[in-house]
Amino acid sequence: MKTKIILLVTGLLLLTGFFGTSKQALSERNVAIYEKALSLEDTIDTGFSGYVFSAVPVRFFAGDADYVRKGDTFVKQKPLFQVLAATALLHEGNYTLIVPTVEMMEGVFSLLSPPDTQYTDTLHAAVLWHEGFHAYQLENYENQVTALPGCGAEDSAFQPADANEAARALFMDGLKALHQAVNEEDPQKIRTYVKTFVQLAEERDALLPEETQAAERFKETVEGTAYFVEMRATEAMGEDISAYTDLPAFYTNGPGKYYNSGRMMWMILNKLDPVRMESYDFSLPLRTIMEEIAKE
Amino acid sequence: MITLIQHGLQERARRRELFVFIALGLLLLLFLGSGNAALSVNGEPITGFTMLFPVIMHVVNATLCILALVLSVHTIPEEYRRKTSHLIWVRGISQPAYHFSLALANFLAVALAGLILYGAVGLYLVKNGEGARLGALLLSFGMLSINTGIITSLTSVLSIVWPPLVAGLLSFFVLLAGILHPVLEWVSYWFDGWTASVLRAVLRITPDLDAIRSMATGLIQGTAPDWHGLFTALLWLYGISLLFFVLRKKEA
Repeated sequence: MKTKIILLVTGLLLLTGFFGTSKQALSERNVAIYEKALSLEDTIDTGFSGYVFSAVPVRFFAGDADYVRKGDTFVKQKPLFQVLAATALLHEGNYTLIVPTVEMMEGVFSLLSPPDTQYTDTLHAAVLWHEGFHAYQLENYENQVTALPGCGAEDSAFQPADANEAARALFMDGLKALHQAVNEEDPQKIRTYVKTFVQLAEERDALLPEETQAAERFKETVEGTAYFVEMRATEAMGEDISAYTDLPAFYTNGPGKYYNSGRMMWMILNKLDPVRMESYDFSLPLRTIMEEIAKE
Repeated sequence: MITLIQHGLQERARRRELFVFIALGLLLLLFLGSGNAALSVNGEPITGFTMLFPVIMHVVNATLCILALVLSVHTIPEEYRRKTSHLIWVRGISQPAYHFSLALANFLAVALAGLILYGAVGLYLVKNGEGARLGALLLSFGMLSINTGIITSLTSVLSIVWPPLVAGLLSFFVLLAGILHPVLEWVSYWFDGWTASVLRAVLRITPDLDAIRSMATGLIQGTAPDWHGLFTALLWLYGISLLFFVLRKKEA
């Protein structure tokens, strides 16, 4: 009898501790990151005046639950989809920003990245702006974005580009021309660099299947603009943006490199034609706009 | 019951597995701590105290958990095979008390091995100028003992109802899934469909041994424990230990 009482009391104490310590709220760290991202709204210049970060519905994915922003607080809900991805998803009629908690992102980073690299709170705040931008893109320009050739292409579409040595070299040369254009102030010189880029890009296109070309143009357009917003958010937080602006030292496989080339194309348009940039509606790929600039 | 535990502990001290594991653990720690190990993640070498210490704690955790399994898997079946159990029953000791005492003796033997390995960890801390962290070593040892407690009790209760091979394999599966919990969790988020469902089911039915390892490491590094994770692990230990009072050996 005495043993049973001890066991029962122990069990009750453990259950009390278990339920007493279970998380009902989003961690303070994530709340602080979200508030930090919100605070940038008055200072950040994304180039997209319609993008209001605070207007984007947001869900933090914490593995066993989602924390959904309702008014000024985050409410615990059943996860919308249990996949580790920062993205924009149509939910209850609105495109919602869904992002893993910073703790989860740190976990992934610690498993996949070199030991001396860290996933920072600042980076997470910038990622919120990036993914929030996708929600804005789809909320306002869904028809244009989905009509772009290359929309919905799988990552395998980029393999022919990565497997072709000449295409790899031409991509790096093109990136260098874009980088020079971004760092140039004289419009005439910028156009010269853009012409060089377009020339190299056309030479490269001849080596690649149409499906790959379309997938590249799509990524550059949709992700390049979002990556630009992410860079601007980082800059607005007073952080070093050299990780965004430095010319990559080597070629990387996969779609990540198009974020950077797209970002540079958007920055060039920013310099050469701010009026056109203001009215940009994603109906034309950024590469096509570069081709038009080269012809001017 | 104390006599049973004392006797069990003396028997375990005669088992060569105990010393083999202590020696292997010490050798691994010596190898890692000497700075001669060429470890790398994604091509980046793991050097220096902050990078190497968590790896050392992984080794200590895995060594002690495997030792707990190896010591426990044969203990109860062996007692019944020797047909000495009737000597216990005539003394009025119940089956649950007998099984629990045998498991507790195994747990203490593993704890003894753990103390020796922790001694080596302490030396590593001092050698790296981190002597100030020695105070947290005992707390960390207590924390890691939850894992060895879970594996000891799980293997023991499984060996009450199943032959050693089945009990050992099941326990090894739980041990592996427990140590790889964060990796499995991450992979489960990477997939959808049945792969994710199977992985999530595995995560639900296995204790997160890595969370305890992480807290034991964190205690030494000055990080506050995740209380919910601690209570979850203690509930696992409690739940499995309750099975000692439920499961009975048919031969008795």
